[in-house]
Amino acid sequence: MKKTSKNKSSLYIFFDTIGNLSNFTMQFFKDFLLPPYEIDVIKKHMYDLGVKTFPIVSVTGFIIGFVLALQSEPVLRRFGAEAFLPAMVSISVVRELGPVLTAIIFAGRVSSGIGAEIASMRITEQIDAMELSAIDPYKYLVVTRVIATTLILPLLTMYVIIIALIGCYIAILLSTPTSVVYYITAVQEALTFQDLIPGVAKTFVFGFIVGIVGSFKGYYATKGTEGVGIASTSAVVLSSLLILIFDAILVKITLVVWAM
Amino acid sequence: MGNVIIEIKNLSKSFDDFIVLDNVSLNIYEKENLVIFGKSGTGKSVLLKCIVKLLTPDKGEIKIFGENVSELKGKKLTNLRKRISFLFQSAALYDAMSVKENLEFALKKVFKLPKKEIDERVDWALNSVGLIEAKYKMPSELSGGMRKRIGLARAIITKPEIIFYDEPTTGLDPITTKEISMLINKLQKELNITSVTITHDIICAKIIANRSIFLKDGKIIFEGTLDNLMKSNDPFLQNFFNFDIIN
Repeated sequence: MKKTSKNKSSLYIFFDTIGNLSNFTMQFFKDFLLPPYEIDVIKKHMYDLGVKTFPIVSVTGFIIGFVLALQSEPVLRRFGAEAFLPAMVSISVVRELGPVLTAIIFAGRVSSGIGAEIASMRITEQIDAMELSAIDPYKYLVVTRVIATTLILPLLTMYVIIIALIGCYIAILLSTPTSVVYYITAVQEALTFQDLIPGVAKTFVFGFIVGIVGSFKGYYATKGTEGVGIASTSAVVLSSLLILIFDAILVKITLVVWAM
Repeated sequence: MGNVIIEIKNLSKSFDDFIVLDNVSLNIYEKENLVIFGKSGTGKSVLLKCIVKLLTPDKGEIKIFGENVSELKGKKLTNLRKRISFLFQSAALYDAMSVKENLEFALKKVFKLPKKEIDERVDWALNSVGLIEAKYKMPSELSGGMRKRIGLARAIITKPEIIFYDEPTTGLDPITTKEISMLINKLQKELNITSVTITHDIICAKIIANRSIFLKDGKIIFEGTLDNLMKSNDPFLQNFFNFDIIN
């Protein structure tokens, strides 16, 4: 009953995962424009995956702005440049920290959730049942979730940026009495659309990564209930890693495009 | 026997280094109740999953309603799947949906029936399995027997021509086993359905089987009536159906 066994090396598994993830992603681009569009399901996922993430990203956003201001203020004071604190924090938060940290938090909560949910459907044969009912499980489970995460993350990021700027203002107030009008004016003067647009635009890519990686890990889950845990954990690890890699690539691209 | 509705020729399937099905050939006839026996891990579920194209065979040919399953894609595959149903061992109810939503899911998405007809079919299916009171419950609120019944209701609601049952009575007490088996038999007769059932359960098999096969090491080692199977002189089969306690 035994055939020749194949030993799969780590390198084989790595390239196999990359290949399968690429195929899985291509399937999304083939399917997402085709009906049925499942608008109600997408809205439900946007609520479940996005709106319910507001509390955790609110705390994160506030702490980013607050701590960044607290840490930077003594350094700037040393050079007599504390007046630049609102500008420095706002540019850091809008260009990099807001988008990337929101995406990482979002990956931790949402990619793992998607991975676990779809993996549990795979293990309990619900995906097979859907397929046998002539319903395309990829379209119903994956496409809807990926669209939801892609659309909701930019909104969450803009919200986090605002909360971070509030955190920054409160940190400044603790050391120097500053009026709100002065603070807002300083932030407005420091920021341009060239800061805001690339920062928010890349979160569409991050949102897509969170949705597609979580779905991929769940969709191909094996090994029973243990597989649900593996899918959930590996979804967070892979999506966080890809967010950081794509951040580096997108920053370089936007700098080149802006220079032109 | 009626016309051949499922034709399997030289089917083989293996996973990595383990051969599960080895050159299996089998005909399944219209309106019969075929029961598949075999020890755990002998490829019974794999056979069913190959037939319905949840798994792709390594070798061989499967025809359902005269169509080669491996060549079916897109709309043709959808049309085939509209004519069959599958009751999973775990019932595989959608956790996030209520019983009513589970039942109407395919009718809305695939059959695109009007709301009135969907409502009528949901009530008919739930009445058929005697669980109309569970209509608005979630799967997590149901017992094992109730889940199987709802799974059965979901299987019949599309009025299929063939139903595949993967161990429909596993994990149930003898009374519920008998009830579910009689229900399968009743629905098969009322709706003229062809059924293919995997079971280890003799009570279930005795109630529903017209014909039975026995799978061992990926091959069919017996094909015939249940009585003949149970009276077989093969020592392995005698041991399988021997209920005496070994001292």
